[in-house]
Amino acid sequence: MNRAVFTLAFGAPKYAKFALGLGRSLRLIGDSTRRIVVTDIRRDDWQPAFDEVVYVPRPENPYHAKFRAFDYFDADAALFIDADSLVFRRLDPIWKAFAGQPIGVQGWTISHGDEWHGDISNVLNQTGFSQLHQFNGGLVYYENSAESRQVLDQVEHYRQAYDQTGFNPFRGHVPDETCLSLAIAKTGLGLCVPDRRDYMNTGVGLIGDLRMNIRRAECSFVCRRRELRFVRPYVFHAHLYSQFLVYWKQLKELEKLEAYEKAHPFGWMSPGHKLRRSIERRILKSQGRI
Amino acid sequence: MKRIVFTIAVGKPKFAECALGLGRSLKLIGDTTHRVVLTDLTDMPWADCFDEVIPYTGDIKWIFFEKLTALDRTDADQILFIDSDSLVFKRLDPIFEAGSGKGFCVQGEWISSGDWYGDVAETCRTRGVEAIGQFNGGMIFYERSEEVRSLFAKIDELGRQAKELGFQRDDPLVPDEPCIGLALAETGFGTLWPDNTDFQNSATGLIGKLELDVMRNRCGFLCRRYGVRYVEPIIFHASRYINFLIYWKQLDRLKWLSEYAKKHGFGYMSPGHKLKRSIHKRLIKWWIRP
Repeated sequence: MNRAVFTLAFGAPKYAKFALGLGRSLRLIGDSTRRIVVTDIRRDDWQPAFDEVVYVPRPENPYHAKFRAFDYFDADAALFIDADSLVFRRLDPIWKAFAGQPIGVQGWTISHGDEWHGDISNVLNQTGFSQLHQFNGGLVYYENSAESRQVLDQVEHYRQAYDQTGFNPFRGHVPDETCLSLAIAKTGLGLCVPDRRDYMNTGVGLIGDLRMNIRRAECSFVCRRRELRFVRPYVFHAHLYSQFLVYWKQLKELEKLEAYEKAHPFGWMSPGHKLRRSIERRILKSQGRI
Repeated sequence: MKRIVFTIAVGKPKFAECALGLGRSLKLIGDTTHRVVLTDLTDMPWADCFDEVIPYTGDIKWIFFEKLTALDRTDADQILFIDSDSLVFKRLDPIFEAGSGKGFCVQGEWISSGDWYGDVAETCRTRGVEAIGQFNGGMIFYERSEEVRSLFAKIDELGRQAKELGFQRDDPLVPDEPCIGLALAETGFGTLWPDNTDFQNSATGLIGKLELDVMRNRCGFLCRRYGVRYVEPIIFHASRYINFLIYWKQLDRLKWLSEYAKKHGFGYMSPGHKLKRSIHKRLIKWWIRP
C-alpha cells in the first residue's frame, strides 16, 4: 500500500514554520512514511523535512483542502496531520488501526444536550440523526477508494448546504469537522477510534506541566477533557499551544538539528566530546580498567 | 468476553484509601477494564473510579481467600485481582492477553527449598511434590472454567489444613499464597509468569531511589530480587511502601485530580495558564516570529 502523510500550509509564513516543524519531527523519530506538504508558500528549505512539495494556489476554504489529497498526489491511503503538530512516536499503529477503513478519525459520540459548533440537539433535529461523532480534524485518515469518495462527496454536500445543518460557522468558514461528522453519520462508513488511543491530543484542559522535549521524544501531560487523564500522544496538535513558547522552542530545536545535520558528516564528534573522551580515557587508564 | 479488575477493601479506612488510589490510577491512564471492589466500607466515594461495588460480609480470618471469589460474585469471564495497595502505570491489556486461555496465572517461580511460610523442602517432601509456586498474591489472573473451579476447591481444602501444613502468619488470618502455590503443584494446573514480565513488582530489594509519580506516569527503580534488575512495572504493588510517604503522596495527588475533574469542565484553562498564554503570545510575536 502506497501511503503518504501530508499537511497543508497556506498564507502566512508562520504556517510554513509549523509545517516544517511537523515534517522535521517525523524525520527525527525515523518515521519512514512518505511526507508531502501542500502549500502556496515558496521556500527552498521544504526538503529534507518533506519528500514532496505540491504547490497549489490557496483554496477558497482551506479547512476542506485536507479532503483533496488525491487531487494533489498519488497514494492508496493518506493521513492528514495539521501543520501545527509535532509527532513523537512513529505512525505505524495509526496506519494499522485505520487500514481498510474509508475514513478514520479519533473522538467520541455526542447526542442531545451536547455542544459542538453549536447546539447538537438543534443539529440532530435538523438532520434526523440520533448521534454524531465529535473529533478534532487535526488528524484524518482516508483511502483512495470508492467508499472514501462516497463519504467525501457527502462532506462536500454538507459544505454546500451547511446553513441547513444547524451547525455554526467557524471563523467565517464552514468547518471541515462538522461536515465530515455528518457525512460519516449519513453514509455509515468510517471509523472513529476512542480518544483513549492517544493518536492525537491537543493538550486542551492541561493540568500542571506540559512536558515536551523534541530531543527526548517526550510529550506527556495530564489534562481534563471528557475525563481527566494522563496522555502520551503520538501526535501533539499544538492548537492553542502555538501561542506558547514551549512549542516554538521545539520548532527552533528542530531547525537547529536540521542545520546540524547539514553541517556535520556521519558520526561527527565535537572537539568537546573528544576532549572528554581523552580525559576519561586517562582516568580509566589510571584506574587500570583499560 | 467480560473482563474485570477486582480488588478488596475490608476493615480499616486506610484500605479504602488504598483501593481508591488503585481505581483512580487505572482511570487516570485510561484503562477501560470494568473495575469492581468488594468492601464493607460503604461510606466512600467508590463511584469516582469503580464501576461496581459488592458489599462484603464474611469471616475476616479468610479475607485473603476472598480474592478468588469473583467467579461467584460477578458474571465476569476473566478476572484480574489486584491488591488494593497497588498503583497501575500502564494499561492492563498485556496481562489479560498473556493470561487468556491459561486459566490461572500468577507471577513467580517454582521453589523447592528455602523458607516461605515455613520450610519449603519439608512441605515438598511431605506433600510429594517437586516444587511449589512462590509468588506475590497481589496480582492474580483467573478465568471462568471447570479447571479453575477444581483448582479453587483444592486451594480451599489446603486453606482448611493450613495450620497442619505449617502455613502461618503472625496474625490469625489464613495465608492464601502457600495454599495456592501448593495447589498449583499438586494439580499441575495454572501458569507461573516469569518475574521479568514485570506485570507487577513490589520494589522489594530496592537499590537507590524509587521513582514514583502518577502525574508523570512514572514508576521505575532498580531492585535486587532474583537478580539486580531495572524495573518499570505495569502494576506497582506498594506492599511495604504503604509505610512510606511517597506512596501516600501519590494517593493524595490522585484524590486531588479526582476533585479537580469534578470541579472543572472539559478543557478548563486556569487564569494563570491564560496569563501565561497572553505573555507568550506577545513574546512570540515580538521576538521569535519576525
